[in-house]
Amino acid sequence: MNGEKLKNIIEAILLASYEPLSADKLHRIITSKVNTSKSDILSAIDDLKTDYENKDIEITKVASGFRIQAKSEIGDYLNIMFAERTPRYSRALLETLSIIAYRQPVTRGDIEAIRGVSVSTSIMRTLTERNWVRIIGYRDVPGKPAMFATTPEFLDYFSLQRLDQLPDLPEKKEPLDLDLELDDRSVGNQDLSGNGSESVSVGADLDMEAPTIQD
Amino acid sequence: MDKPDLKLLQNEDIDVHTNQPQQVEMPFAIVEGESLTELPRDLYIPPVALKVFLDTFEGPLDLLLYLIRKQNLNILDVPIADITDQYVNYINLMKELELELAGEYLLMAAMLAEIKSKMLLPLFEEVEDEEDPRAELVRRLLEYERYRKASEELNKLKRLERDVFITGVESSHLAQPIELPDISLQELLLSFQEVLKRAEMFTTLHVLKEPLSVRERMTTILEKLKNKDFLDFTELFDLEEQKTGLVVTFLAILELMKEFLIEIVQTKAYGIIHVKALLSDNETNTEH
Repeated sequence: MNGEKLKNIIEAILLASYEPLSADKLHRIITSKVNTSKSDILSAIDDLKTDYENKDIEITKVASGFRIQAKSEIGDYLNIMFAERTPRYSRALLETLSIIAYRQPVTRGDIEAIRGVSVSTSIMRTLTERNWVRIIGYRDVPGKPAMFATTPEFLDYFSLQRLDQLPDLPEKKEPLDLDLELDDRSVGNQDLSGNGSESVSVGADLDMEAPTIQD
Repeated sequence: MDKPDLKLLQNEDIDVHTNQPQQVEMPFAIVEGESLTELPRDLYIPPVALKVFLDTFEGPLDLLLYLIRKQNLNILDVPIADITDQYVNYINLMKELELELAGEYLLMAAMLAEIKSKMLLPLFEEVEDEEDPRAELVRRLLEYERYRKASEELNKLKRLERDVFITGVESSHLAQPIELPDISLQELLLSFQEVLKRAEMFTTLHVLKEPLSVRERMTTILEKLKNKDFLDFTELFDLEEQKTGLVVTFLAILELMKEFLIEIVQTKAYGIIHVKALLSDNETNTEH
């Protein structure tokens, strides 16, 4: 089979597939009919990439494989078209998901320890139903709590190939200087150095950095 | 999204005034404890809006961080007394607005009060390793903040259905029709017969409960004891019987004791338990 034909087949398969397809899977599908090599497939994909340079679609690689998607320049148009279908995720869900993504495997208890609130069942259900999070085992402590980890679909959804492509977790800060402050501590010195103004202690204005109301 | 500018006052009544969200002339910024602008007192935020605002806090750590960050306080040296007051104000406000207050908020209030009281106590020289009472709280706040920031970054990632859209072509018209196997009427009847046969087996599989009457067992026990002075307690049980049989025997023994028909004697701890009949025609020789 010539390269042009192979390229067209791969394009059609990727377009018809709802999920990203790995090079292995493409290879398996195509060789079941005609003999090709994996490197032929990869070079056909490269050719497709070149073809798409002047179009508003592109081939990208995500965790589960290749997919054809609209270029981001087109996103604005599509957002209008899909406006009411764009799912929005709450801060609680995103925080829970982040903790699972960065700290996996984690138990509900771990998540609760960090967030300071109990883990909502509906959030965990959404995360598992979307297939972003799965149980990968049970910790060997009393109660055998389930340990959660993220899935390749999670990476696909966020257009990532590997977990280490996640944005870096902000650096850990240790409250080291705290102990130094101890010596100065005495009864009554806590009317806050430099912050003794009435308006601070009496009122609290909520103008900065307010949590978004719905996201 | 525009965030409401709110001012929380310590009055008993909810007395909330606001600036218009659009007027951003550095409103109420507090730098080094100095508030920069005067609050306009003519605007009123309906409690519903405030409720929405308060409802958005993702737990006590989130609320505390908000209080600390918005006043530019040093998180490593939190003025605990002040923060506690403010925190409790919010909690009270949430209560007044009848927001359902998660237990975690109250737990945090208690924790703050504990830290505050520890801070008031004089420091003992002898205790070398005494940690700042705030340390644990600060550690948790910092840790929570890391993941909160991470979640904000996660939210910025290009994601499907919002920033990235998958293209596709319709291919369902190409799908091969699934070939269904042919079934003759006879095969169908045969398998139905099988089903009937199995159903029949179920009806005959009624397990009859062996009627085990405690009363009857009592009689059997007395029978066994009739011509003997005493029997070993274990001899009364027939180990061939299932658990229920053993239980019935035991119940029977208890029942017999209750009715003063037998007597149970154990001469020493962990020794053999003897069972003895106390029937009237069998005069008791020994008193225990």
